[in-house]
Amino acid sequence: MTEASPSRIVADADVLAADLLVGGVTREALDHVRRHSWLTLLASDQLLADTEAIVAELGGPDLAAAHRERLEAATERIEHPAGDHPALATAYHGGAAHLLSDDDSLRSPAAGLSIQPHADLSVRPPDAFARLFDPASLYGAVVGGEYPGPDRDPWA
Amino acid sequence: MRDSEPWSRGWGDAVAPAGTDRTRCIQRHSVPGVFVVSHSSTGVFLPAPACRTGMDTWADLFDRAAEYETTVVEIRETLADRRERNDD
Repeated sequence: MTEASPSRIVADADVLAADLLVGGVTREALDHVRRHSWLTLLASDQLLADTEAIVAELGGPDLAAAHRERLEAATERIEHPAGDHPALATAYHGGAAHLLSDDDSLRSPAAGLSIQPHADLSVRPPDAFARLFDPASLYGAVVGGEYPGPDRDPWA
Repeated sequence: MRDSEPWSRGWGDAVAPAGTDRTRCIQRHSVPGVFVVSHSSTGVFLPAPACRTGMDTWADLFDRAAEYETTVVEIRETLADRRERNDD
């Protein structure tokens, strides 16, 4: 396992699909990541496959394929064993400190007790991430120095 | 609002904002698929990683997705069904 870094972030497949198909606070959360080049979004092939399947079912295969292509370019690929929970395993093997998920079961006390011994991981719904994200303090911890502001167009 | 964001100030078209006309992308590198966009006033060529043939920008994707009406609940249920099937 890579040591967890607050600059490394995983979004579960439901969050990646909601970013595309619903927008709102989910898109706000991922815009935070997209507009900072020093933050890294991680994904495994299994996580991308889950996302593509959701988008294909609710938005059609062409949109799903185009979305996957864009995600593949925007994420660092992480490998994990087949059968593992794609989001948790990506976070664990990729050294992520943040997992964005709408899955209540991943945020339960029981899940926290099982995750924390293995990974220093904060599991949050996207609205909480969007609300609590503090780029200035994170920049100081990850990069160092004064936060220069966003450095990328989040919708490019 | 997006025009006032810091990334856009002074960068011209370097990051290919939403709605960028793909015909403005000019191939300048020998690496296939890597393009640059000309700054309209200076003629300076800057890398534009998002401006590639065949790949939609996030803005393009959000525009295309806007025609579908779905909810977070539907998305959650679709994912739960898929993962349940995969577990079987």
